[in-house]
Amino acid sequence: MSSAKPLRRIVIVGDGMRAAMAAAYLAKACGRAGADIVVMSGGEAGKTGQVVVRPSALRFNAELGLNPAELCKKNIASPLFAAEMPSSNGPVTLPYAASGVASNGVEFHHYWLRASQAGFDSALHEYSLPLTLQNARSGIALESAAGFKIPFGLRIDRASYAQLLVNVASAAGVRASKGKLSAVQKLTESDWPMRLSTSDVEVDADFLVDVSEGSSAENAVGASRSGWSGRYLRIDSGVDLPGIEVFRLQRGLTRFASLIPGRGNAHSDSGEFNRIFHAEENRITDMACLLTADEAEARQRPALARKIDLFTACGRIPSEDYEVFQPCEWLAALMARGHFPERAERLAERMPETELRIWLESLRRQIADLRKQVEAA
Amino acid sequence: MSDESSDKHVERVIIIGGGTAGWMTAAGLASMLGSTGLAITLIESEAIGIVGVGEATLPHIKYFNDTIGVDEAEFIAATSATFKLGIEFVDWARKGDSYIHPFGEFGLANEGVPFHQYWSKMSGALDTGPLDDYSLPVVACRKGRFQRPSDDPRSVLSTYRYAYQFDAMQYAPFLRKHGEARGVTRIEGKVTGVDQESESGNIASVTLETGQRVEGDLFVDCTGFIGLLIEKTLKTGYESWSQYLPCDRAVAAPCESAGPLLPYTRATADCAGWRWRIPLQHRTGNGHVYSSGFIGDEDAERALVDNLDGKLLADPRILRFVTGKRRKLWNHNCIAIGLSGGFLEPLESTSIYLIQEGITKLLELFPDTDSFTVEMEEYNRRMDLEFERIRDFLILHYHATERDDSDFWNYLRTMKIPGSLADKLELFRNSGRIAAYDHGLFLVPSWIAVLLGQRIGPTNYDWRVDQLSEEHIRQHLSGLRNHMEQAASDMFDHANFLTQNGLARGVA
Repeated sequence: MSSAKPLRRIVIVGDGMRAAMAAAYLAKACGRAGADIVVMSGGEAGKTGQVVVRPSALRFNAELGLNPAELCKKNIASPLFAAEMPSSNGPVTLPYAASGVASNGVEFHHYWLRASQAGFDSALHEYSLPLTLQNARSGIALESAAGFKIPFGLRIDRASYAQLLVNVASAAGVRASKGKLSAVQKLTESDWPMRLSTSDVEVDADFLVDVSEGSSAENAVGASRSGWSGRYLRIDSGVDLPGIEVFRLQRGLTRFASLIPGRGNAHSDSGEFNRIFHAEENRITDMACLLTADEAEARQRPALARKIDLFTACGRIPSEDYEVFQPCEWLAALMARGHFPERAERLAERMPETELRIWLESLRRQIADLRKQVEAA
Repeated sequence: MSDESSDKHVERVIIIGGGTAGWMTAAGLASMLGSTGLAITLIESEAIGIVGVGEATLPHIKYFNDTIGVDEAEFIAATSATFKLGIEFVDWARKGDSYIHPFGEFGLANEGVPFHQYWSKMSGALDTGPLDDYSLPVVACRKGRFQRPSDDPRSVLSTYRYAYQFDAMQYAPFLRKHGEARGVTRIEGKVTGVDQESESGNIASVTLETGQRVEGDLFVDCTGFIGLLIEKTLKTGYESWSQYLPCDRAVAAPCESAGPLLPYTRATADCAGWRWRIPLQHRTGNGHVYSSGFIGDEDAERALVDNLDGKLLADPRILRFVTGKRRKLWNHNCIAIGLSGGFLEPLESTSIYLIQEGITKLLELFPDTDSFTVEMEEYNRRMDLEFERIRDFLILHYHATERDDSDFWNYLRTMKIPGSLADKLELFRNSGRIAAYDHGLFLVPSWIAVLLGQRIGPTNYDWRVDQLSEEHIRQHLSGLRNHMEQAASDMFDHANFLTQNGLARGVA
């Protein structure tokens, strides 16, 4: 058996943070096997401001040597325990960890719901550790996150993040080629399968990764959809929800690196990439639709309709393969959009009502005490 | 359930059938929901035998037993159970082949690249050995060793789980005690009539031979293949998968134990099916699953009896089945759990797992009132997915073969397979990668074990493997292999483990 011949050169088309992420990661993942990574940049400034990094992307950063505590210390980033999403009813906060604690295999919100229906007056957010820590100072928040073992993301300055990634990419030997991609030529009589051209240079490559914010490469290649086709991978920014742009890049790049077929194109590898990439895209679109579309539009999406119906019926949130958002995020979004369960899960009835009230009161007090400590710190 | 229903609170569950599925359901519901006021009644007739499904199990059963409060030592003593670390497949890809599908991992991933990719690169070298050498449960199986896993993730002993091989005829009586102690009402009797509500079509009650009428809000059909409620009454329909899995009969017979007590089940491919061998403490369970289109009953029985390890202990008995599942496992107010819901041959010991999943999902989606359309649809969606993904995995064993010594194998080797499985095979053949999913029983290590065991060799390995030098990989493999060998050697002989821990039959 032999390995597929490694790609000799991968050209990345894009600017700013997006291109820097692709370059840094692919250089790290493929560079040691000999792949030459070239960034073809149009020199556009790209977006500025802040970007949200979901908790799942922190591992990606760690692989590149970017430590969240150091980023926060440098005031480039701050920890984030929930993301504020736009919705038709105004901003909705989706926490990265559940409220309360699950008990006997039953999610906390079922207990809260059961108590609420029995007249116990409290709001779900009163039990939320992530929402309590959301406004804490960075140092306190990071310490608390470690102590309570709750996931957190980052709100990070886009330009500074891009620069850190550029540094990683440069150290890994990534080359930059200035100039906007103008043409992609398929080669048949050459050792190389494609030639990419700008107004100034021509670069031969085995593979093209397009992370541009526009669609220059898309037009040049003639592809019409985000995903992997032949020797072309396009990762667009996707739906405009906080955290999704970085999530799509992170997931797309890591999956691509794990599926790169080598020099010969392999249909099954791209098929596997697209299967998962588009499934995740559907889950993201489901969330966007829940937040911003009307009921009729939401019902056009089977998995979303299922979530709404089952949640309304019994408080459970069904999961699909390749979910992007956690159940606690769906819970917050569903409730913010006016969907409330008619009942709690039957298993939550196992706890006697008196015990339930005492437990909830105790939890609420603990969270309130923590909030005071955080505010005083 | 229609919207016009009266939204009656679900307070009474009636389970029909007292075999493994029936008593697992009763014990599960009583343990988890008995304290909420739910009344659980099980109707069974001693005059009706039970199939005693699944002597061999998967590690999930331990979770089920733990959840409902079953003491492991009591369970092992009551069912003459042994421990199980995997399933050995003999003669499947070629005659003379043997591989083990373990309940655990292969090696350790490195730099984000799965272990088997490193092994693939080095597999041509003499000192690399088979992939099995890098799986602790496989090495332990080959040595006849066992030890409970460790909770410490840094320990190699944390890389596997275990299941049981037990006397299924004793599991139901054991759970009966457990269920009755938690409030399950048992009624001895044979169901002779089923009454349906005229408007909704829901089952209102069942009538027993004695004339007793038993009313319920929710009915669980555990009547086995016959499907007394789900099929005979509700005419739900059955989806046959016999075009992919043509085996339709099994002949089973116990024999005396012979040789060392092995911590694994064996499945040996035959000319028109396969034979199982399940070592219990007091006997060995045996069976021959076959396709009646390719072999007669008498020949099938002879193939079983001629290959027993020890003296035959009872007359062989034949079971007939059609592989597939009900079109709806939950229909109206009836949930089919066990053989009444569907049947997948026990090649991967999935029968009890499917019962367990049926119970778990019912508990999660347990309806509050008789307005439960949404819960029912979700239950059916998730159970369909479980069945279909197990089906694909079973097909893999038959289809990925080089055997051409019988019409049976020629049919299976050349048949058209589901697209979902075809895509998986293509991806693995091309690069040794596994198409993963979030929901479903069999995870990546299981697919690797069976794909490689069935001689589906990847043509390439992941080129990221080349980021490490051959010497580095060789050292890594050698160290790992020695570690597995040592860890397995340090385990207990399986029979001694049972004895020394007071678990041996007659000791506890």
